[in-house]
Amino acid sequence: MNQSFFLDRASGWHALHPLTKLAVAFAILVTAFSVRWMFISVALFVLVIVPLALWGKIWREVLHTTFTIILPLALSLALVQGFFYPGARDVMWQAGPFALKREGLEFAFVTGTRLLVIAGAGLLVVYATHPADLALALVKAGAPFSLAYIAVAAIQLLPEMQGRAQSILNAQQARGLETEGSVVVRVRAFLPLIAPLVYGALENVQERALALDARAFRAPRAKTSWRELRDTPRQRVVRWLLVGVAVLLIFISLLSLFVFH
Amino acid sequence: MTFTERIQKDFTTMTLVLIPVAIVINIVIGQIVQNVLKLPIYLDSIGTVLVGALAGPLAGAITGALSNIIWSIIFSAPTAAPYAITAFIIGICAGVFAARGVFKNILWTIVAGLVTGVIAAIVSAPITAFVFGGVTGSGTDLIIAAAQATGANLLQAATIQGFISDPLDKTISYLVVWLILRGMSKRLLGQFPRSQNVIAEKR
Amino acid sequence: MPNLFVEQLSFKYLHATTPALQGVTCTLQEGAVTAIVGANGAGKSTLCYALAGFIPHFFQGAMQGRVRVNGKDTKETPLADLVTQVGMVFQNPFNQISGAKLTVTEEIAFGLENLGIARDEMQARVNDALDLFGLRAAASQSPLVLSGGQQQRLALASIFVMQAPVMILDEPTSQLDPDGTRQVMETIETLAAQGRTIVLVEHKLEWIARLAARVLVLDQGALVADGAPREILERANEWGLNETRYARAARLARERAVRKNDARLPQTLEQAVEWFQH
Repeated sequence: MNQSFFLDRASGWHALHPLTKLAVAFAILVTAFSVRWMFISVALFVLVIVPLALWGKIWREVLHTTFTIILPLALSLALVQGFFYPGARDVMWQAGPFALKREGLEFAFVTGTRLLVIAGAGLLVVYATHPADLALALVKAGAPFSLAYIAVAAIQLLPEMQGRAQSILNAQQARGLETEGSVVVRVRAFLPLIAPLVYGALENVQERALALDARAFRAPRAKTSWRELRDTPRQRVVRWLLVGVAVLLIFISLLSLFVFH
Repeated sequence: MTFTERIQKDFTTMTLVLIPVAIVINIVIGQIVQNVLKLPIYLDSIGTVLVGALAGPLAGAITGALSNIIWSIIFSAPTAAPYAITAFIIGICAGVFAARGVFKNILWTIVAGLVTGVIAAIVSAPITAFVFGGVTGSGTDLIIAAAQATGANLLQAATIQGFISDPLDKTISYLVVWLILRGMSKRLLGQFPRSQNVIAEKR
Repeated sequence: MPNLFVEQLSFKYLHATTPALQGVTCTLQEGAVTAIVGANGAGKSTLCYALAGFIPHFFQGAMQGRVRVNGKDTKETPLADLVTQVGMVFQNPFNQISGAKLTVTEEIAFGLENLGIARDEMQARVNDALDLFGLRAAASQSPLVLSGGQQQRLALASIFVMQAPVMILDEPTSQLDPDGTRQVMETIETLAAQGRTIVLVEHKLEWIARLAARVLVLDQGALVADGAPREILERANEWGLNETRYARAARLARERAVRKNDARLPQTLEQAVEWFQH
């Protein structure tokens, strides 16, 4: 399944222009990193991300994915930084030589919740925007057409290449290739698995390029588009506001970094 | 040749087709090494280095950066995305070194791989420290713990972690690309804009 | 009114030791199917690339002679203009899927978007193509889940809508199963019946006999024969090609004195039926 991350639902959030959604995500990320309040990320997650996910009818998937990824990270963070944060003094719990310190736990908390926000904001955009619409919006906004093409083509090519890798694995194993066991055995299996994959892929590059040229891909004229994106003046204003606020926040936090240290 | 002219010359249709193929190669080889062979190494930059060699530094850089971003989207792993910066730099390195002809000689390939690995470690350290608080959920987190226990600050700890894994990973990647290039026919190599990086011109 | 002139065309690929084409001269017939046959390596694809402008714009090498499409010299006209005059379909169905589009409909429109065609015009052309190439049922599917035959029909459709007067088909069925082959060949038959100028490179001589009005034979880069299918295909063995099964049956019948018909060997079923009656 090549677009397993786009969830096609009828919602207000879905219907927004891709750039609007990107602007919202950008503003959320900038706020999380520039406001120096320990609980800003939690606040953003609970007060902004979750309501938007609810509005977009994707809250189940967003919450599930976010927590599946972030929880193990957060645990690891808490342990590593809780015990080993340099310069920390305030001990909260001790077992033998290992002491959990408050400063470390605070750092772990801030970083962990920031990761939560990164994941949440990213998923808000990705789950609710059709990849072709996202590519089109970026191109209309001035991104190079080739870049959008590369991204969409790579995403679509992936399942086919994964299938080819599986066939090669099966074929090589049928000829006696061992892929389990000692490190030496596994290292020896590397080339027999990837060489056919890479050479097979490279052989097709020429014909693919010819086919693209045959469809006037590099024609220097202005391209038209089959898909249409819906945009409203209100969204345009909101986008500019969000980006403006975000840039302001970046500016202020950079200033405070240099002035107050 | 001006900078923009050189970019246009590098970005032929062959290049535009090669890049998505290389991005996918990065991801699939990374998956094979991680899930099938379960080796303690990434090897997810082979495509990046290959594009750097065949189509120049900017093409390689784009391959690397997009590979990370696409990986993070497809596998819902936002932890990979910030390292797009490192992958971008790796692509530049590969393109620049290839233009100096390192891939015509196995020893120079190894040297270039080592240097790229060191550069990658230096670039990744602040990312690991700043965004992730030093933790990526892999076994190398223990290294961070150990380093900090000896009093190193977070940035230093993240740098040490990078230095242990990156140079080896990138050197192997460069060697694999060297092998791949050797196995390609002259005719196929000649299709790419920077084939002179690989084919020794015979007078 | 399409006219395609090839004048003393020679070409050697960069890094190659022998030329791929040597002094080829021919004029393409308008509104008919012209077949190009020859053993592997004879230069058929190279000639196609030269007709479409990929030589010299895509492939590097030494080109001599001239190809003129509608009065324009291919060496002096940019590729983006040439593709509106000559469309080309290649062997591998999967490689011709752009990868940029998520549905069959949008894939067909891909070339039109690149040409800057207005949306209404795009929609009209694509709708016609969906029916003509039997892809209406698959219209909203991803191109990547289609069968080989369907993907090749998709490739034909996406070139067809660009409305180039000449269409070149380079072994369009070589990677297809018999069913896929039949689908594609029948589509080509329909296009030919509509009066399109088609250049068809094929190994399956039965289909050549059925579809082509004229056959060009290439041997080691040189044009060695040019004429009507029935005359040319009789000499298939001379150039290392597999003769049609009808010719083979008739020839064996003649050799074993089962039939004593001196007329030309049959190349199609209808011709065979007629031939065996004498």
